[in-house]
Amino acid sequence: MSGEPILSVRDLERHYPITRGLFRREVGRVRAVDGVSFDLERGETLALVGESGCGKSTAARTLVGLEDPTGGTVRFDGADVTTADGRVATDFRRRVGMVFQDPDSSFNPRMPVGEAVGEPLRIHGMRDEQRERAIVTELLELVGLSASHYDRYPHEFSGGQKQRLALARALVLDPEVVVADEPVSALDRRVQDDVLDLMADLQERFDLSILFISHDVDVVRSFCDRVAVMYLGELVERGPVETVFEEPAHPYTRALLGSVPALDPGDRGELVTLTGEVGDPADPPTGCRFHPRCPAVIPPPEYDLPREEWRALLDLRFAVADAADADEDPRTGDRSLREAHGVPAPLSDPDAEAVLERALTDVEDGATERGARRLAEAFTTVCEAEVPPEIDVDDRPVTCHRHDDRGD
Amino acid sequence: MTEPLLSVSNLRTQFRTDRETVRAVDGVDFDVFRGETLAIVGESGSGKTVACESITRLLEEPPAELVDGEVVFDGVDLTTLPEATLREIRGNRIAHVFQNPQRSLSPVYTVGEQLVEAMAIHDVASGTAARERAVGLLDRVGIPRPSVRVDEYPHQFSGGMRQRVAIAIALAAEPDLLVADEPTTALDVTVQAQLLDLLTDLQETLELAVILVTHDFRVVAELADRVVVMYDGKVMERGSVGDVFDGPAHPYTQALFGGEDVADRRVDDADDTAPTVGCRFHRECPHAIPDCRRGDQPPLRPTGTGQRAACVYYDESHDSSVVRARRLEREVTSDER
Repeated sequence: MSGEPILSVRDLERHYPITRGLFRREVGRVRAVDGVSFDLERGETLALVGESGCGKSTAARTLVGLEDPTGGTVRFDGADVTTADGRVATDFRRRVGMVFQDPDSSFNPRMPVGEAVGEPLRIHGMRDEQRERAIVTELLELVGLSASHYDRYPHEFSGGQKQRLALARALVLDPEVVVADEPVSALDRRVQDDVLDLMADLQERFDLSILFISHDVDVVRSFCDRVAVMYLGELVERGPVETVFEEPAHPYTRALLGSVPALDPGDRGELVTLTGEVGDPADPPTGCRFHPRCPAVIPPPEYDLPREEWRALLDLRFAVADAADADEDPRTGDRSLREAHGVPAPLSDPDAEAVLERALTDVEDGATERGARRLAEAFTTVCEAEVPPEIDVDDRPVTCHRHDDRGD
Repeated sequence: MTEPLLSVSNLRTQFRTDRETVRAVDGVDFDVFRGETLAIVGESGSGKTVACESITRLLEEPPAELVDGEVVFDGVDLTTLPEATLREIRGNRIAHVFQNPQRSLSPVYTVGEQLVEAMAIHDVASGTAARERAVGLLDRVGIPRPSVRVDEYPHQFSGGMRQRVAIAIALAAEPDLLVADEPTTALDVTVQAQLLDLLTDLQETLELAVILVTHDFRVVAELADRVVVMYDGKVMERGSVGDVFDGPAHPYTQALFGGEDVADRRVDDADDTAPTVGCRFHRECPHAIPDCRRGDQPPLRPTGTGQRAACVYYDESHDSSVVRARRLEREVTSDER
């Protein structure tokens, strides 16, 4: 393993404009990938993990050039390939193979699979049919299929076999990097294990570096060396899988891991559940993007409130603000606002309780906006006000105020 | 012991096409008691979904065909009922939630209209009372600002919220049994955690009986009281969640829990279907002996550790420690890891 990373991504951005009207005036941007940086070292497997909509697939597609980045740079083996064309781009495409989640959409149902696996060879200029067939046949055998499969059609293969074929095609140009986007997510667990074993074998044989996009914590734990955790277009934490999964430093990573049920019926009822939903990438939350849901969101120094109370109080504050914006009554059904958000009565800090009571009276009186303002002025958090800087926690970069001098 | 709410015995459902007949469910037995969660676990193609959809005959017939078996729900055999009577039970007393919530939602009506309709069909409530109840149900399943969102359409909800709405609709008629088929599989883990919490809570407060169909043992560990493990239309193992997790008895269940030695022998080939003679799992089983290739699937026998398993090793003439010993070995290695 030489020192320089094979792939180096800096401040990668992929924004989609939201346009309106005849002249397609840009009225906003969906910040699908919003400043992502990481290195893929030679020979390693790096996981990009996150939930649907966090931008991990867009990041992968953008860095291999399937989408144009709107910002940032991608360096491959030392060369800037961000906006490369001509020879550099062709060379980059040859040296990076890609595998997708759904093999059915990556294989033409009317093309024999052997031809499909060999297609990249033809695209890159191979004219010798016999040599192509020989290369493909050898690869089919390497991925656990056989030469007799060459002339068969995709529908004759199981899901696991199709992913083997997808791997064969990704490897046909002898790449150095494979970007695999949820390659085993559509498969049964036992087939997943088989395909991952195969990927591990191929990685060793071809000396591959793998960028592994996944939402599945179990798969990442068993297959990857390092992990980068993504939330709403940004990376929140990255580091070795053992460290990040054993001692997650970012509250989102902790929530992600804690929301996976234990494989032991004796441990039920201990799931970490987040409040609210993932924010809108077209209008991401200010400060730390996770602050509207973060169980560890930092309270202002003026108040002395336990963590759960502070979280519930902020939920109430945001709900009143949303209702004020939409000109609605924030109260729901027959439950009081306190009940709906699990805010205890009274709060353990009397000063906070006084503010809350005044605000709730405002809402009762129909002055939702005044109540919302009162809450917003009193119940502030650094997590909302300031974007957290990247801090090194035990040699892994984490973006959370809990780890800078603003937190504890 | 009290009577089960639902008792399925010798259920056989097949699909007939021009070329072949597929026995999707091939003689399956299980009971569901009031207030419990029974998990039916299996991989794709195991017949778990077909088994559940056979209960209220949700399957399209033909190609599906209920060939044999009894489905006794609260004393009545559903297999003999005419469609009209069955329709009353479906939704009213047995409600379904699917992996894809769209299957229970209409895109052209607001969620409130759909909730009110569900209540009207099943004579629960109507008019203003129904609307109020609809808001209450949305609140109950954790939809924020339900009095506003009741007038929105399904597409205005996120995937997780849509599944909550589907659950609200399923609960609208106050059913006795909820059949939840992979209800969280399409959702992100953080959303799944919220839904699992909700299901636990609903079941406790409403004393619902739940059939949970899933491929995910983690979800089983979180929710289920008892487990049925299915493979290729057959029940391989059945028992309490504690017994099955403490020591999976059938080699197939062990394989699902992650046995490396089994994976090597896996037949992962679309045109190579499981055998119809002997144990369905024998070709992949690391313990297979000639007896496993004879006759039909062995019956579910007591394993001595609480659950039952359909494996020849648990009859009198075989030594079940062969299967068990391997299991313990693996537990030790997985602990060391």
